[in-house]
Amino acid sequence: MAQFLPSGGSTESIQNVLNSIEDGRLAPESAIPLLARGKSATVSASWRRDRGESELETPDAVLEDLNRLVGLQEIKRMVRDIRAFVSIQSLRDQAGLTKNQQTFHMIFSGAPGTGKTTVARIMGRLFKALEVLPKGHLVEVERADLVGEYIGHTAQKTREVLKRALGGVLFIDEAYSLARGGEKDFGKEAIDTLVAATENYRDDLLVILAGYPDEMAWFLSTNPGLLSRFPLRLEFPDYSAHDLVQIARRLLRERDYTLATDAEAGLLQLLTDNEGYWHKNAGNARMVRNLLEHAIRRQAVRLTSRQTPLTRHDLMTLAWTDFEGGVG
Amino acid sequence: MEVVIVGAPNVGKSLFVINFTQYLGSREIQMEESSGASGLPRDRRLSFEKARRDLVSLYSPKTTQIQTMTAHVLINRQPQRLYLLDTPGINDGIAPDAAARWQIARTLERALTATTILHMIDASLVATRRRESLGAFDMAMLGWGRQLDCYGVIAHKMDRPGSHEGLRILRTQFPDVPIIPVSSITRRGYRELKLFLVRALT
Ligand SMILES: Nc1nc2c(ncn2[C@@H]2O[C@H](COP(=O)(O)OP(=O)(O)OP(=O)(O)O)[C@@H](O)[C@H]2O)c(=O)[nH]1
Ligand SMILES: [Mg+2]
Repeated sequence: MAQFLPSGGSTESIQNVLNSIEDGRLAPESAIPLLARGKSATVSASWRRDRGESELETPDAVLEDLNRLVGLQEIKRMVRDIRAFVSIQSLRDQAGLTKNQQTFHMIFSGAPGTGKTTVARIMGRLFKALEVLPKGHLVEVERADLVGEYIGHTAQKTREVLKRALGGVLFIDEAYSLARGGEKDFGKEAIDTLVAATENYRDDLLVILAGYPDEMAWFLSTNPGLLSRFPLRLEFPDYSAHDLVQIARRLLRERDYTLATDAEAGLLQLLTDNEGYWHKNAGNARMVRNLLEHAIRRQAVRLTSRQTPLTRHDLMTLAWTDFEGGVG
Repeated sequence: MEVVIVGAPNVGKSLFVINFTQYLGSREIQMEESSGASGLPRDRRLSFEKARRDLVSLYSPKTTQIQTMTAHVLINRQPQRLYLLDTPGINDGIAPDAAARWQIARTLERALTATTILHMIDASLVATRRRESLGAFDMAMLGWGRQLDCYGVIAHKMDRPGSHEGLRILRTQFPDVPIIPVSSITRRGYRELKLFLVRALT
């Protein structure tokens, strides 16, 4: 649950209501009036606003895309919380109440291939739909884009990147590498320029620092000022074997392949056996992609060596033999 | 664009979703079950014939999990993907079965984030004293819906005796809610419903 929501916030009570239904403590007819408070306040208002401007994406449409991502339950919940919080803040603003001076800069920690960039892109679209950011585009950079080779070069490079990102999201991958060289490194200069930018462009820029969990924790410990400037922390867990099989199915569907039953079972078994043991660079969804690439090549070899005519079904189906022996 | 169809058991949600998808011009049913036998979401492609045979039932309750069907509508001449969510029928009171309760929670959760909620009522039963006539769940949904812009009622089974009286009662009791009379046997009202969705989605 998001820590930044005031206690008793609407999303928290929605979750409570849903849990009470599941536990058999609340009948649907009693639950609905409680849920109604959450939805009529947040969704209906933005709905009305969006109606006039059809080219503007609705927050709901963005959240739908988020919901269609495999797994990531906790992240989805947090994003919904953030959305509720922003909606309420703008309603408060319209009602002439004081606006909370919340900044939304974020830390994404998780292994590569766990969905960080995808969620960052969705975050940009969501903030645009909520009218927090004017453009909502994503600029993805790493250390080399920010850090220069001589004095003054770094500040110049960083400022250029900031200019490109203004109005949208600046996503800094492997952000901890900025602190790698210690005090004398030019990375330090980049961090300082960024931190200043988070203050100066607070209404016009969302900065997301991303990287491996351990390294990000270390990075934050090197620079305590970052903690308060990046108040939102999203953790991207490694996908479960089930999630990964689902990802595999989606990737294959996009390319007009399907998994034979034995291949689906075998893949699930393989991924389950290895759950938690992948070398961290093997990287999750990316690793599944590699497995599939390999299987697609093996299937082609298998089919060309066959004597009988090939059906459409043959051409589409990956069998378990196409996978076997395919993981290093 | 997500449209969630909610309602009591046996009001005809599944038949409606299948026939309406066909009406919108899809060639077959493309459906995602929220959990297949393996516990994972499962995609299925079915002919309309088979979908009607497998998913619609004389005996209630039939649908036990959320099924998402994909259709398309033209909005500003652009085809927009539409997800129609067929959900398990919801009874009044606390469901004795934990799996059913879990599904109810998921259904309401999806209704919270949906673009539009369509609440289906069997119009032919509204005027009767049968157990299936307007219940506590329906009344609660109507109470919620009247606060929303993205909500409409389908007065279903308009081909059946008593449905006109039922529709009249609904319209008198809830003058501020859009109520669309529909029959999934004669397909009366599909055109109006499509217009309603297009307007809601643009
Ligand atoms: N006369 C008439 N019968 C209908 C109509 N729509 C559905 N039915 C019938 O109503 C019965 C129930 O239909 P379903 O589509 O399975 O109902 P449901 O709401 O999905 O039921 P659950 O999944 O149990 O919640 C079936 O016998 C359908 O043939 C209609 O418009 N008119
Ligand atoms: Mg059904």
